[in-house]
Amino acid sequence: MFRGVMESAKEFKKVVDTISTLLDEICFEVDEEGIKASAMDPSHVALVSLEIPRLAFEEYEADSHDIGIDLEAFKKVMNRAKAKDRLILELDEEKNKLNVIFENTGKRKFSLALLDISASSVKVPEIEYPNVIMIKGDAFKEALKDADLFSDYVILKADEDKFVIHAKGDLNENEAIFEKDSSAIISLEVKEEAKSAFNLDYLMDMVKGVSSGDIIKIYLGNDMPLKLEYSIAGVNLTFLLAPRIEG
Amino acid sequence: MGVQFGDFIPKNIISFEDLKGKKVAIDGMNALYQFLTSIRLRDGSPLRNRKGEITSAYNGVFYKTIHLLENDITPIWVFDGEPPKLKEKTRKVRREMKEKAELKMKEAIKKEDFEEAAKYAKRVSYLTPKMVENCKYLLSLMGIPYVEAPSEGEAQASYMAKKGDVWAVVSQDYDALLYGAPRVVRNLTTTKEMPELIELNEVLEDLRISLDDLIDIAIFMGTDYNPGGVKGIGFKRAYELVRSGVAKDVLKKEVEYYDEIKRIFKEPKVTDNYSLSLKLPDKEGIIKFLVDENDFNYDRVKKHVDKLYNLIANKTKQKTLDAWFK
Repeated sequence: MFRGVMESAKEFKKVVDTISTLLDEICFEVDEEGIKASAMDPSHVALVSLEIPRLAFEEYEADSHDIGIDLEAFKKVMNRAKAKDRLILELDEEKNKLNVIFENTGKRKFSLALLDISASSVKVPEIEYPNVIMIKGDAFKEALKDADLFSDYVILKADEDKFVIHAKGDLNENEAIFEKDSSAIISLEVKEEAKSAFNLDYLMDMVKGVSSGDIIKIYLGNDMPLKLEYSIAGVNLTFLLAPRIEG
Repeated sequence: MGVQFGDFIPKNIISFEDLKGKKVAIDGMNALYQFLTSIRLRDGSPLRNRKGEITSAYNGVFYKTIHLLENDITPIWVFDGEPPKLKEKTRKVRREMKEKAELKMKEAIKKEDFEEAAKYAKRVSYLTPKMVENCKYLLSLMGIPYVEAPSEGEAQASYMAKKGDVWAVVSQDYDALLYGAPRVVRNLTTTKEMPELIELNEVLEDLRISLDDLIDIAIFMGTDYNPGGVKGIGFKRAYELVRSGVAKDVLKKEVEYYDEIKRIFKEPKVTDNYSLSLKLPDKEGIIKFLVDENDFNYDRVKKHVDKLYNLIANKTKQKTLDAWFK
């Protein structure tokens, strides 16, 4: 069996919104510890991984299940969540459905068909990163929106003193500079100066669910995939994005 | 079908080389119709999968897009949204023409005149909403950007060309000129003829008229919004009326929805909500769609998928995560 109750459907909507821009379907691996899922996008450029510990739920009860879900349908349903709705997720093993229930003045129940997909064997690879930057989510997100004016990719740079987001179009350029002591930077640990280029569309999709107050942890190296980590509503999200060759 | 300017405006024969390194906006519906009528078996029937569903459009979208990318031309596909109300009459006429052709085709088949049947078969080309949706799906698997126009695709494509986001509009029709596209390229998605470039400035200078005048000439000759135009007036007569400065008065009298038609061309519904960036293709997804679901030849598709992948990887310089999973 599986049943989990969350305080805010609206918050969980942000999670579904974010992963559904990168993936079409996902397999949630449910067990008594919580929920895990990870998958690469079809072109193998990005990896999405999420972990929902049982503590993120107000009530939680589960044994082991793989729950395959069409994310487009899940997103549509979550878009119907209202401000004070609680969220109940429950597996109907008999009918082979995932029930998504919004509880407020009454109960609104949606039943999603389960997809026959097996849990992905893809896990976030253990990569040693030389640099870790913790930055306020909205500052990072705004910098990416600035960059999007002139280019379809960004160059992320880190040295001992600062973290820089640089975009270069055919004619115009943009740069966001975050000094080590600026208020947007929570911490800047740099072992080795690094600089890598990343596709902006993917990057913006990855931070879609970030709102003000959220903190993003950025792992950056030279010619390495970018790793992003942040949490929404107790859900830990990890993203990996392959670099592009610069120039 | 659009306005029939063909013989009256200056055109230049160009080569694929002239378009090298450029982005172009393809009038999607226009190209899909072409694929549907031209990508056919010898007996004139379209390509089909084993379920009998027509697949000519997918063939065109797949191979033509790769062909353009090979020539370092980046195609951005633009599809129609909601048509303007005034187009209903044109759509109805087209439907009726197809129904007639279908009848004649069936008669010919009965008489076992297959040459005649093939001729009519080409005119019976229904582009179903499912085909269009599948073409968009195929493009997304291929990593090729497409744009959903709020209304007319040609208007959206022209807007993107005016903004400078793309270099030209690709269409067999001339209507993009009326929407103010600085350049229209014909024959790019066909195989038989050399590509033709029509430049709006050159057209207007050559005729010594304004864009507004050109739209008036088109309305005289007939557009998608007033099929048939004003009876008895062709390009030459329309041009004379425009040059003598009486065109607007005549049009106001003769064309019922003159102001509305003008507005469709001059203030079309367009959107800025689009992305022009290529993405790495979903190799397995393409093979599943074309080979497993639509019975394309595996070897040929596989070869082209690999080619597509390399072309986009080189262009976007995007790496994959695969190297970190070994």
